[in-house]
Amino acid sequence: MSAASLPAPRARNSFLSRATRSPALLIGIVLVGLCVAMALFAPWLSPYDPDEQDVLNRLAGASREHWLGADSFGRDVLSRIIWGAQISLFVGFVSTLAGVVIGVLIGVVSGYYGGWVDRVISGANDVLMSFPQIIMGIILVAVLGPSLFNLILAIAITAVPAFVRIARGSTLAMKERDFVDACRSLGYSDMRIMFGHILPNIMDEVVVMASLWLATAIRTETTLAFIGLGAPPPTATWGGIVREGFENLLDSPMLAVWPSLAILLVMIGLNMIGDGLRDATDPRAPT
Amino acid sequence: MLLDVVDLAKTFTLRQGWPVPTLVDVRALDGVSFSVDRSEALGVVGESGCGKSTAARAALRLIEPDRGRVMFDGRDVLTAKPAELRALRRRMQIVFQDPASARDPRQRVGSALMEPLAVHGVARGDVARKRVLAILDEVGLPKTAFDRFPHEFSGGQRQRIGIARALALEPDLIFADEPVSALDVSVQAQILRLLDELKQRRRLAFVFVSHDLGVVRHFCERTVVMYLGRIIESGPTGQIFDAPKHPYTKVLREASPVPDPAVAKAKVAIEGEPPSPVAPPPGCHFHPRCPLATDICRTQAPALRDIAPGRRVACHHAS
Repeated sequence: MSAASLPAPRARNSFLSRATRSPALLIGIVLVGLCVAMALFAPWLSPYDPDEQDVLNRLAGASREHWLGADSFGRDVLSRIIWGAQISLFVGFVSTLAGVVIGVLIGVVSGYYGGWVDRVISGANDVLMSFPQIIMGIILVAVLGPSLFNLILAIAITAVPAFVRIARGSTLAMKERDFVDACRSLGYSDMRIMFGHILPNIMDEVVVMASLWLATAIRTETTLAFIGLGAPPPTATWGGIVREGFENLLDSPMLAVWPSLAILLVMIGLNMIGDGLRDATDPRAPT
Repeated sequence: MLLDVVDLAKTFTLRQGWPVPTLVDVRALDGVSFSVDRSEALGVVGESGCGKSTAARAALRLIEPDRGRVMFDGRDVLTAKPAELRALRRRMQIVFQDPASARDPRQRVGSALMEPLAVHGVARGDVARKRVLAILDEVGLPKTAFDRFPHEFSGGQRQRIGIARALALEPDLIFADEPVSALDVSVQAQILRLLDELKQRRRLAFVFVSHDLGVVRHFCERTVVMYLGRIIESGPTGQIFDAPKHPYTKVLREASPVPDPAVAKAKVAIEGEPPSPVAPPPGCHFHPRCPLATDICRTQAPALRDIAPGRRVACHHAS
């Protein structure tokens, strides 16, 4: 039998061309990239030690020495925001990553096996999802005590149900495809099928969800810090800085505004990345 | 016998109705028995929904049947332990109808074909690569296919990949579940020719599931005809086509187009839709559409009985 000819290899840039068609993804990446760079290079970027107190400059307004002014202890607000990015982004990334890994693992197993395994997991998951995220975070941190590790743990736990749900749903859809039966008839183990063949095919959706959840995780961290359940002071975190500014809102309103702006920019950036990725990975979208 | 399937039954339970859903049973398989010899091709024909694909999947244990026995080369498939089942599956493979959904879209062809070799400890690395390239060549694909993704191929080529994957472990038996139904007629012929070559060269046995009688006639030595989860006629393919005994088989044969205008002739009219497998009619399942139906057909299900050596039919009126 003569070898059938193949079409030329398709250019594998359809994802790229879709991703760059709308500027949203690019803007989002730039915004988030700037914040990450700020966090990474904090020791070199920040003009002052974020915890250094200078009582003579208490609540000083913006000046050439202190671009964004100083707080009630006379600490430089710009430096605190730059250093605060480290904690806030770190907590966000680590807790989201933990939530993704655990949630996807559970979700794929639940969707693949079905039956009573699925019923138990889905039921437990629905219970967890019925708690508002912030309440869940408050309860966990209140029980475990405020520390950086407990904060990450609490946020990760609130993230798990969302990823269980999305991974389970995508796995259910994948399982209907013949290739899963083909794998079984070739004698592959369940582990190999779940994590070698189903998982790579549902990662699109998981990644989109993760970028949106990163924003939620960072917001949860700032909210918990704002109500005093974040990393203990004097550690600079964005939520903590907002809180300190809030206490002096009448004397120096800009103290709370600057860190809020930083939070806002990261939120916008991450949501733009999420939306952009969703559009770029949607095969139904025109190339 | 290489494969011996006895009294296979499978009932699916569906939730139906609104606002108060009720559970309904769909009898996809209702006591199906058939057997396949070494290097023999068995055709399984019938309308869509008659359970022919379910029969193939249950025999492979891709779905667990409720009842019945499947013996492959003297070993019981349905009670096999996982390790034993894995060994058995090495010798029974399946080719699917829809070549688009039968491939992992993120796995290159070469790696998809090398994986089973590694899983079963047959070959790794360069040895596996050589073997895969040989199989690609055998199914008529160029070596360059090795590094391509499934979506880069046409339907016919994808089906060749599916056949290559089924061959990778050098099985004795291949279940072909409507392997050419999703393809253009010209491509169908090529794939059938390929399957025929493989059957001769590798002395493969086939269970060939199809709704297309022309395809089965071309390919299979023996044929079973299914209707609503039951086998209603079986025998050598030539006899089934030339002298069908069951009225349903006659109708089925008339419905198969003959590509010759001179053959145009009066058709046996078939009345009505196939009845729902949820609520099959009592007695003979075919009686509401049968021109020969009498009272006994409405009350008693006919048993599959021998009417000639190697020929069985389930009809009260067949002789």
